[in-house]
Amino acid sequence: MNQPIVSVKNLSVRFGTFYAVKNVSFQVDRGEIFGFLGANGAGKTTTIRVLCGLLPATEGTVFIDNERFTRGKENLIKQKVGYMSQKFTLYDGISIAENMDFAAALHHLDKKRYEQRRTELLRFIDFREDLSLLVRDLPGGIKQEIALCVSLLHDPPIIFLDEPTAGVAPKARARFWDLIRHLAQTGKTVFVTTHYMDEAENCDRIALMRAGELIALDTPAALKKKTFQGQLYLITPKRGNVPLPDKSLFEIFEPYGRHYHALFKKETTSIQKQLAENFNITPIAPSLEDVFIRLVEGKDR
Amino acid sequence: MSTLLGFIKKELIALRRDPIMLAAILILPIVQVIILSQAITFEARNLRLVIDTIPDDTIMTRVYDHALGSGWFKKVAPLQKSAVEAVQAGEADVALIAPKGGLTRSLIRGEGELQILIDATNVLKAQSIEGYLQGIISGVLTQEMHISTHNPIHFSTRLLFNPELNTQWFLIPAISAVLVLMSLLTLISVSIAREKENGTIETLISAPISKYDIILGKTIPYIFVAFVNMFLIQTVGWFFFDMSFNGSFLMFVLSFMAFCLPATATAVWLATYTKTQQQAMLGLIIIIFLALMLSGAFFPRENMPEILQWISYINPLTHYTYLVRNIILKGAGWDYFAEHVGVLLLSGTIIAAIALKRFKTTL
Ligand SMILES: Nc1ncnc2c1ncn2[C@@H]1O[C@H](COP(=O)(O)OP(=O)(O)OP(=O)(O)O)[C@@H](O)[C@H]1O
Ligand SMILES: [Mg+2]
Repeated sequence: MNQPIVSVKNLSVRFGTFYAVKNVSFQVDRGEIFGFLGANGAGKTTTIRVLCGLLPATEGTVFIDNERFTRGKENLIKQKVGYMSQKFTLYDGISIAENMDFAAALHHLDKKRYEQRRTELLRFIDFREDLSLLVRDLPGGIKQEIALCVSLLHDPPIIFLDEPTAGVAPKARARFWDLIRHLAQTGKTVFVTTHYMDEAENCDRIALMRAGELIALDTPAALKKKTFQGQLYLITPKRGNVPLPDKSLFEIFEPYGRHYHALFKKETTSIQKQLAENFNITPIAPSLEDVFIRLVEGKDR
Repeated sequence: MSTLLGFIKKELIALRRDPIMLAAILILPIVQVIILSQAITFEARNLRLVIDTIPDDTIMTRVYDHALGSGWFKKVAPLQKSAVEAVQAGEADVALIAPKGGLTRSLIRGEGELQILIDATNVLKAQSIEGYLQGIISGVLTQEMHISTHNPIHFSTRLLFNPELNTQWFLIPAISAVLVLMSLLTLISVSIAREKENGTIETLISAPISKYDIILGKTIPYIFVAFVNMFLIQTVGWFFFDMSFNGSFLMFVLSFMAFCLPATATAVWLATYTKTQQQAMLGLIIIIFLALMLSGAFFPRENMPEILQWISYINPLTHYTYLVRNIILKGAGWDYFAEHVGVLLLSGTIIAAIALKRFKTTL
């Protein structure tokens, strides 16, 4: 039972001569919320598509729930995964109920089991509206929740969510993440990508992709600790138009609005004093955003 | 003005970057001009002529030779049947039947009736035949017999299957065949393209189903729609144009089902090339145009250059049009049915094999 539910070894995906995913290996444990982060085009969607059997791998092996992904076994594995794609998953022109009926048919659910699952899931997302509403008439947040239900209909042990909260209002986003946490508590594994760093904090572990390569994989806390060995400071100019400090003093000096997040190369009281003339300097704990910028964007420079 | 220029520039750039669109825009007109100029003429040629007379009827033989020499008529392979039966069976377009004792003798006697029996299933052909033949016969008589002032021969023309040369009767079966093709092609290929364009295709192929599930699920509903369509058109024909249905209803339905194979297979095959509904529509315009022009549904195939005749022979719409027209207007027999359904099933199987090979359940 302690076997990882997803095991990826040396996975590469090539389009023509371009590697969208390059020699990536990782494992996902049962019941965890696994965050998959990376800039646009980093290869997140491509990886998920391979794991869900939508795209063949160019190289490497993929095990889902102890089954190796090989030709002819795709459908066996597809039964074990739920997938909510980055593009819209539901059919716009038909009703919620009709979308669910169709999903049940696609997954060969018998009527009794389908109705039971549907009731459970609608209760899970606390949906009380009319099921005969057309999907195109639903607000974005509700659409995504219904899409989540549809991808959970066949009760897969693992679910892949590709940017499920993109374009969703903050309140609905928070609600959606409550659902994700609930799912993990009931034993489901959730593999999720997002561009929102505050959301990523909710993950048990985070994998960071950059240009097709996996560059970090750990818990949010460990990532922060590893990435920032020194103390991170919030630096705020005391007045407008103060001259910026000499950047060579810093390992990191990133603008955040009118503030800066800074990591000194060599931290000395004399430098601090010198800066204190024009700036307020407060020690802060790094956020995932700091980690992300440092690891993903910092390396490009 | 600069807004307008910006617009124009943006549209043209977008056009240039879409290879399918560009192909449709640049190649389609060329194909259209070539085909339209070559394939479309209402003038009938290569009409299949049989004659029925006694041996040694020299004048009749002269008429026959002149007819063949004119280019309008061609020989029919030697028949076991009588000339009348050949026309009835669709093996000849026209039969020229000499008066009793032969045309030569009846001219000597100075009386006689020369019968022209025309298959009017194809109104366009039928309309030309009588005029052509009378011209040829008068020509022979004036040249060989020097009879110019008074023609002792009495012509009697009989039009089989559509005696009034009712154009609607000729067109409606063809329109229904074309509409079946159009509805199947459009509905199926656009509906698959829509899944790709909207991204719902990912939901489909992430489910544990086979490509056969997807293809059947995407075609069967539209076969129903096309079936209903076809009946609506026939009903219009019956109600408004007094078109009678002379053939076997079973044969009619079976022909439709046989035609569904190549039509749906073509739709699925087209869908494997397109990612958007717009691309699918452009592909459809090309395919439907070619299928229609090279089918004999509206323009006689017999006039086309040989190469186009061959292409039109492998075109499923040609055979379905033949079937529908012949079943409705003259109650085609089972051997006629078997011949054309055979071509439909064969071409359908080939297209289906290609489409299935190209159709992937991965992105
Ligand atoms: N079918 C394809 N053919 C060619 N290139 C592709 C294809 N699919 C994806 N790519 C390329 O592979 C790279 C990775 O794409 P992918 O969609 O996996 O990125 P992503 O991390 O999901 O980005 P985003 O955050 O924008 O969704 C991109 O550069 C993309 O253009
Ligand atoms: Mg993506």
